[in-house]
Amino acid sequence: MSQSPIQPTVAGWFTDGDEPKLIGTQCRGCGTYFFPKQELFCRNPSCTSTDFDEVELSRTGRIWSYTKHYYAPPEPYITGDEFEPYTIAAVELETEKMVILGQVANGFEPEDLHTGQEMEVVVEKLYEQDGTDYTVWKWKPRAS
Amino acid sequence: MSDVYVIGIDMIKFGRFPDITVPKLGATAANMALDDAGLTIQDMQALYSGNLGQAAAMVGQRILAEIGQTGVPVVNCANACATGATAFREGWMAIKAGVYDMVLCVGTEQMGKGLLGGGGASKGIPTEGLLGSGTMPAVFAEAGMEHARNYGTSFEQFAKVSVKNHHHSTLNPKAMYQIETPLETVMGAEMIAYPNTKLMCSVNVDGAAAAVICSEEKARELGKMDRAVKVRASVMTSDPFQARNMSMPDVNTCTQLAAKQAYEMAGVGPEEIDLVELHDCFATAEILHYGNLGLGKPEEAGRMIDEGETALGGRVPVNVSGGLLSKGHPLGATGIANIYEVSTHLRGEAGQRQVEGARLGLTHVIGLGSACAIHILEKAQ
Ligand SMILES: [Zn+2]
Repeated sequence: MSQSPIQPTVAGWFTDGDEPKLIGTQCRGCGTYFFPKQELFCRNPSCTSTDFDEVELSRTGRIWSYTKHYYAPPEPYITGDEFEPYTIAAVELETEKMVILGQVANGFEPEDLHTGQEMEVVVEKLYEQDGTDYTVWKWKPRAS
Repeated sequence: MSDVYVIGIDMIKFGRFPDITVPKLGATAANMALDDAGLTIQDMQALYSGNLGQAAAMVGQRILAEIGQTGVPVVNCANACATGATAFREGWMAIKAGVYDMVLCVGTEQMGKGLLGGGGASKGIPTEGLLGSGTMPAVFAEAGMEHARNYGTSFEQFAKVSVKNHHHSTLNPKAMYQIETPLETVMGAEMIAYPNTKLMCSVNVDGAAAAVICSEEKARELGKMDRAVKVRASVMTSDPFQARNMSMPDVNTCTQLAAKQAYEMAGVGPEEIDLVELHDCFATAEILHYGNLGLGKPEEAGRMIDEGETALGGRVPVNVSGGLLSKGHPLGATGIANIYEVSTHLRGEAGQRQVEGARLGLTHVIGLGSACAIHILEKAQ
């Protein structure tokens, strides 16, 4: 059995292609968006809905906060041979107004970022294992 | 419902004890607390044990196997960094409910080296663990950055928290470290997640702390009121639903909720609190919690640290023990260790670091995930 050389780190959390999007759910009862997907019961204590639609979330948002992470996270994070510090951002989605954490696209440092800055979802390699590149969503400053 | 009193409390000196088992660490603290109360395990009607790393391993029963298997009920608690406070609060509730009139609460942890959340999934919350964006250093760094943006708080002001707490720990023989860390050393240390350097992150240590608590009637009957500490409030919260924070851990709201409830339960305001042991898992966290606990307005936090308001001798000394940053943070022990610190001041037994005339103190812990516990303690009258 041959394996595709590119795989998402977590299946079903984002789409690929030129304009990748995060995949979440929306509660039919109260309209709340969820990421990761909520599928069984609603987290909203005043909602009893059990119906959720899978939705693609807006692929742009604005930076709420950001930092640079110099410390190798514990397992299950896979660091490869040598840990490389990375920039991370918490971004408030344009439409859903939910804050989503993510690494920032390769090559961007905190100096390149500011709060309120517009970001978009991109998909980049997170790590490589057994000849396969595993990808994840990242936040990239939107070219203006 | 009876008021609840602490009549015996102690902790081992925090450090690294790789050759001592978790139950032995807990047993040592338990016997110290029993000695402090002048009682024995035979007097305890139940044991509430907090431990996170061995949450499935019956640590409480194994502590009894070290100090005396009296056959009493044992409850084992795990609640992230609020584990010790949860064990204490379970004991408090049992006495409040009138089921028992005297119980033992023990918090224990063996951490090994590394940073908070650095010990694998069993020791922290594996938020997006695989993806590397939801680690605790990252979450508290970003929360600090938000404070900086909203209120102009600077890297230097965050760093001063660590300078202060390390200074305090030089006066605490039970702290992991007794070393001064000048501002330039803190700011120049290895960066973990901006604005927190390595010296602005809590220290992973092994530790244990224990408390004997009882009803008012029992404390009077045993003649223990002179050194007793009254529990004026015991409150716990979890994260309330917020559509904005489905995946982003919120480090503020559950503390604000718990503080409001605790002040109401105690019938006191934050301005009456003489000292605070709060959850400085990262230097940025202490700054956030000044506002969350109502010690000042959020925008005043930077000024409070600049002017020494939260240092020993200041308006409301915070983390006089050295805090998690320098005393150390053995997860399951921390909640009872900070109750020990405040109780020691209320008893007037804190030696060089005594907060003079302390009458009311507050302890606070927060475990991401989230569990927040606050206790308000008062010198018994
Ligand atoms: Zn709903």
